[in-house]
Amino acid sequence: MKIGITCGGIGPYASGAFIRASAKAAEQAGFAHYWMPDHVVQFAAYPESTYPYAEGSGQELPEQSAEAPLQFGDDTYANVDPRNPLIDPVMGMAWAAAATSSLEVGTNVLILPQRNPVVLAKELATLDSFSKGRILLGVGVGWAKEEFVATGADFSVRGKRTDEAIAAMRALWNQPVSSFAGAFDSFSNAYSYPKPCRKGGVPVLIGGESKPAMRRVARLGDGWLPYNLPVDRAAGVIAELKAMTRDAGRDPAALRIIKIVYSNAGLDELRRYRDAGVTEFNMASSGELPTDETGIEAKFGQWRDRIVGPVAEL
Amino acid sequence: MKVGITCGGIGPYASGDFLRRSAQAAERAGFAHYWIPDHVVLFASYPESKYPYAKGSGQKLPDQDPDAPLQFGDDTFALVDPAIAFADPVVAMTWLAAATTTIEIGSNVLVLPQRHPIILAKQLATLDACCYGRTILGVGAGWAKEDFDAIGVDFTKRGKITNEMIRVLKTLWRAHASSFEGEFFNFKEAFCYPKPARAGGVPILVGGESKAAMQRVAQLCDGWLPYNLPVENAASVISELREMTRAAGRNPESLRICKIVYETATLDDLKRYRDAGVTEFNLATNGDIPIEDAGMEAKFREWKETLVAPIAAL
Repeated sequence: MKIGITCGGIGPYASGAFIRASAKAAEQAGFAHYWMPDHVVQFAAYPESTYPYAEGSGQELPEQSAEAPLQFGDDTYANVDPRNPLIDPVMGMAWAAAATSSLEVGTNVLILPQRNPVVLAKELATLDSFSKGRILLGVGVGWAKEEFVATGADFSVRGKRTDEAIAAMRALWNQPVSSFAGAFDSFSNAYSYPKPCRKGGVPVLIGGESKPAMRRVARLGDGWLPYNLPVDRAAGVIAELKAMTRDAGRDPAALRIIKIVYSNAGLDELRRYRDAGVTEFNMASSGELPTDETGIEAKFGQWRDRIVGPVAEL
Repeated sequence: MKVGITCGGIGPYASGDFLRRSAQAAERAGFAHYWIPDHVVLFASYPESKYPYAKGSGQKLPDQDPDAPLQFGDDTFALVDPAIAFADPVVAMTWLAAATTTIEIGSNVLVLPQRHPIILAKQLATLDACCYGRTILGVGAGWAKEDFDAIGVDFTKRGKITNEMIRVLKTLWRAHASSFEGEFFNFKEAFCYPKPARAGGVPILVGGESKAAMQRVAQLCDGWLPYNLPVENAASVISELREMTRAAGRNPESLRICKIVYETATLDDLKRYRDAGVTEFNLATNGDIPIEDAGMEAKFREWKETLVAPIAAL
């Protein structure tokens, strides 16, 4: 099986030098994808919102060294300091794609209803064409109302807006001359070129484990990016997702299901995820990567032997 | 004096491969900046709009070879075919910056009111941090109502939105915790990191020769990107701009004034522009750069001799 990595884009890992070096090291180590997060702005507190990922991946959290370059919190929001740099994911993907040649580069997840789909479609099509079809768009509807207020997007319609944005982008990616009429976005006879290199457009994968997120996968996603999905529940939930997908008249076997795991995941656990229907993994590293090139390469060398190699055998 | 180049981003020149190679060739040839255009979408016709650049740079248009890879039209809009690839400027700038180390990378011009200022602020800050301060934001208010309709932005308010956005960008780039209250955009205590590498933020230069554009330079921006400014008008128009800048309580000496010229410009013309107050040039090429490596390299070597070196001696 394939495994990707989430390690760049925040705090000491947000620099161009780190993203370039780690994306190259990830490619050399055999990781299949490289994922970037998204928070266009951050706040010191989120009194109007509930952080939905406080339970993490469903695994036990790996221990974090007190000297790890990036310290994660454990309560309402995983990032301790709102002044921590957090890259724009489209720029981060472009930078990582420019430094590599075979690795897929994705967002996990980009908050879709905070962006204009016509502009985003063009950005991603340009990047997919530059990188010869290596872009993945992982999307979420967002959870932080404070961000929506700042960006002027209506938090209460974020789900509808997300569905429509996906349809609007696909119209721009797939139609020679694009027209779309929706509640939020409409255009007629617009030409948006370049088209993505990948046939059908940039794959759209959905993050989140809520029922609406799963329905979104079933109705219109190219895949799912589950995070908080404990291994003992995986088979049941994925069977449900597949049934929902069939009910929507689509083929569940075509879905990419990429599970986020920590670096302490055991092979036995990964096998159980595989048997449950997970098709790939994404390893979320825990802020312990060194930031110098030698240290980065050494760590990725370890991961190649300890994780990428064994997962490839699965 | 310095000269930059406009040659990438459209049609056969919109591929990631061409952009990378031509930016590297431009850097080697001593060009100071590399500029990227912007149209999020294109249309087959623009019945509701008037193309403002039909008069070109104020120089005589160079002859275009009928076999040139990119053919320009001569009437309402400079592009003949709306189904032509037109790269997104922000993604293209990132791609170019990743391929180079010293050259400045700019948009000329990005249609500012069609983007979201917080998203754009984060994107450009990310890019500027990644490339150690080589980004320039050239902006315009836009002219094609059809583009605004497709993106969902009110064409009649584009000037006001542009002015407000410039202030939003500067706030997000400079303030630790950013707050803004405007007619279109409002946010409070938002943290937007990384900050651009360049102190004060990414320089904002304004395209267009209208009075509104010149006021924008005088009141809010770091420079001007005149296109249609014939050499005989340059001295008086630039002294007017300087007067407007002084009247706004700002120092006209710190403005960058980067004039677009064609390669048929004579050194005598360039001297007259310099004496009129132009501080640098931007060579708009003619759709005749060969795509393949050897031809492209030869073309840039030729420009190094015929343009970059003589202009450096000015």
